[in-house]
Amino acid sequence: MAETFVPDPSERINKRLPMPYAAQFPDIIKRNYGKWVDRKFHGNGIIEHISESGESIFTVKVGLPPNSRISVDTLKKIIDVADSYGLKVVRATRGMNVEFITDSLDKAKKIVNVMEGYGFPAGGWENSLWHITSCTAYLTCSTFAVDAPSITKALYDYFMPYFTGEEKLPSKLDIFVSGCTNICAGTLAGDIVVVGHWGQAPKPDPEKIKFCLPTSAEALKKVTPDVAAVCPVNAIKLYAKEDGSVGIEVDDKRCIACGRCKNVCDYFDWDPDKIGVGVFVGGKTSNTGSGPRLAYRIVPWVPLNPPEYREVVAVVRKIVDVWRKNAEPGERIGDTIDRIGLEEFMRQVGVPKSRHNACIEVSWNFGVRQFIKYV
Amino acid sequence: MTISDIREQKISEDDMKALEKLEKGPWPSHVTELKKTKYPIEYYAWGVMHKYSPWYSGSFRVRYVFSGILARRSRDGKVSEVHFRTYSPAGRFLSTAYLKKIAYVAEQYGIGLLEFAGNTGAIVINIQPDKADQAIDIIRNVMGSDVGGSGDTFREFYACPGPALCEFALYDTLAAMDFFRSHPEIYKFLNTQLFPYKLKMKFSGCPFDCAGANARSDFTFIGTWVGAPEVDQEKLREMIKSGKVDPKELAKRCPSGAISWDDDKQQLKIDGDRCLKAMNCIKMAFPAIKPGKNRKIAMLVGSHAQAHYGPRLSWGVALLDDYKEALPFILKVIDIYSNNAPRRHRLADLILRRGFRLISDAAKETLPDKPKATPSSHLRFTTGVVLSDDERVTYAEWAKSLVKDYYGGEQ
Amino acid sequence: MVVNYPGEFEVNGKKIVIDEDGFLQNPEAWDEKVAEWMAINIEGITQLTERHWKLIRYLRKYWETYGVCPPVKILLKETGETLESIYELFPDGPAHGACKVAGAPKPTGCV
Repeated sequence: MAETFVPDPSERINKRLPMPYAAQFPDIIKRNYGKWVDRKFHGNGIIEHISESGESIFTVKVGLPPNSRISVDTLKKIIDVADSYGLKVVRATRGMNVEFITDSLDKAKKIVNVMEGYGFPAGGWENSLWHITSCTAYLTCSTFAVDAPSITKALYDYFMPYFTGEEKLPSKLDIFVSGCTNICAGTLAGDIVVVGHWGQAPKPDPEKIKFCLPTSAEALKKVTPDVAAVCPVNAIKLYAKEDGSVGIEVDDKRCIACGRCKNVCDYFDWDPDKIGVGVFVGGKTSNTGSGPRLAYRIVPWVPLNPPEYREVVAVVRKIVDVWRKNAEPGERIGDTIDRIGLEEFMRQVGVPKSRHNACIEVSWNFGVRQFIKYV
Repeated sequence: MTISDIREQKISEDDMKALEKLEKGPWPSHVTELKKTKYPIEYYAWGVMHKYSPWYSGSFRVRYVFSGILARRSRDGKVSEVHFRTYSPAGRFLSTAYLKKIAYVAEQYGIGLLEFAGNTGAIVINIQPDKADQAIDIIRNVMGSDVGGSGDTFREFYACPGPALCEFALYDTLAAMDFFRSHPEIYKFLNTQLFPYKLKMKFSGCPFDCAGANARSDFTFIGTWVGAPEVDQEKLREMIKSGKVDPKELAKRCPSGAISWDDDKQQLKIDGDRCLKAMNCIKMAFPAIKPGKNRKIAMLVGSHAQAHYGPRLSWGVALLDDYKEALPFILKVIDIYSNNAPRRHRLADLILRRGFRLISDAAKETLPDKPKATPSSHLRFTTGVVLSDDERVTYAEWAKSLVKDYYGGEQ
Repeated sequence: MVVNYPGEFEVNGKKIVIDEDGFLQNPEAWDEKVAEWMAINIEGITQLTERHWKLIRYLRKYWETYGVCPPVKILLKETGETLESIYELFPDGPAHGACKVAGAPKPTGCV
């Protein structure tokens, strides 16, 4: 790769146009684009897609480390396998895993063998755990509360048999683990959503908070500075101190620990022992069953004990066990909750009730259902 | 632990030893991957064991690149971390030739670490700060991609694989994503940060919504149809005879009760007016039951994961015949959003403050003869909570009792 | 003649503290002499013109009022510059170049 030209830096201000979507397709997909008519599952993550022309291709889904963090070493292994046994193309999936594309069942099984030899399991389609997505949290993020990749590793370690298909589930399951209330890993519309939050109101760092405040209290008469304006419940109060500078106070009775103040100003601090995760259950983006819906906050707070996080794994296990016990075949968690009732579901999970999980059951009418004229 | 303890960030041997536990266990470990690179893993170890992120915001300069570069600095100020978000083609099909270039950039200009399937749709490459200037030129000119998708601009779009792999795709999601991103009127927003906050656009081929568009984008396109699904009665009878499909089960699982099985005539009847497009029947009896022939694209607005008023699902706007028809509407809404929303408010926050009239008026003006939706919304959700000390003790004890049940009291 | 930072420096009789990324740690010490020193010694700008000063003064006033750097849209409208011209004046851009010289802190996060 010879770099013999030096482009003008000012060109960078215009982003390049995107690569056309077909630029990296293998020929067989170009030939059969839009012509797929059926699919067959072949166990352990292999799907055969059949086209009306009679050709078929096989995709193999392989799990990656949490947050799909890989070194160049692993990337080269993936490239190697895709070159030797695949069609020289892979796909990055929505669930942060990798999918190999190949053109025969033998090669697909060979890919499964080779990747499992490297330590990467195959699986995750049909009635199994499809993925556990994770944000980057302590690896590269400054708006933190908990470390999502290590919690994801603990969950994946326990739930791996559900991914490879050794243990059965009633229907598809997906889990999102986010390090803070910005929910960067997926959304709140997942079967089980684990969201780290502070569990307390923020404390301004006395030395450095001045960087986020106006220098003189005169300014407060005209405008509301950003750090107070982003709070949805007006819990951040700015006032004029005796020397004319600006003081800040956080009302912890009004605070809802949403983190918007932290997003605009780095200099808030929290007590690490009060930080925990909330577990939301029963959301879905797909239109099947009872349609798209957000999840219910069933467990407001679980303590953290790194690096094994046994409390978090135990809570998620309990929820999955209650679902498996009650679900009919093909029912997602949200549909099961609808059928047996939220009260009953929470009673079986056994979580103590408080003002934070007095969930109100609602009926949902979202997504494409809003286009149907109800008589 | 006091604030000055955190600021000093003393990294100890115990932290590194505890981190080794994350390398055990059957699932591939990110710690093993990190140790093969030049990532400052001691800081990560400190963070995990002290339950506090090791990073503050940092500052980084690459001339003329306005979005897509993120920089962090450790709390003690000694170490910095820089990463780029690089664009992927629609559908995220990556050839090995392209991956080899990525591996080259990550090795020669980076620290050997990357995030393969980022949640925003990007491939994230960590970069060495002093080589970032050259790395940008390589990414733009040799890899053929670019860096972007952060800040108050259009984030990277996302589309489900659609016609490239899936028999359920009801329109060409990949072509739609390419059309919007390269259209001059939308492309001009990608180079600066002129919005109050971010905007996202996602495309799903059918109501299964595999792209998660209904829950995480401001402009959502979902393929759908009008009326009942299409039933091939011959094929269905074959599938029933071979035992693959039970017609009574089909009728029972329809959430709106639109399906009925006529045993005498051996015919399946589906009431198109009641069909909610839940696709339970299609999933069970494909290809005898397929989506209806009268295909449309549903356009919705205003969902996001977290903003001023909490997480939200999208409001329906209109049914389109082709995705290109949406362009005037999108440009009008971008205009309204840029001029009226306060800082750090998403589109849905503006709709809640000013009313849905803002959107329905824009729709009436730009899409006059398209069928409109009855938009619905829901109460405000909060994701974080502030607990009292008693409540914290209650929940901690309940969690401990579960640990005892499952792990048998071993420590 | 860019100096090495982090460190403490004396400008016009005042002590200023610069952090690892070149940002001013004691904003109360800022004045226009400090801005000039930072532009030359931290950003490597050879000479400050009237356009430089118009930008610096506008940014400083905005930060003193709101506690944050202005969004780009407002900055471009109020000063009449374009994004390209700001990059020509301050090669590191509005947030990491011009705002730095105006004594404001680092911009936060990515969400």
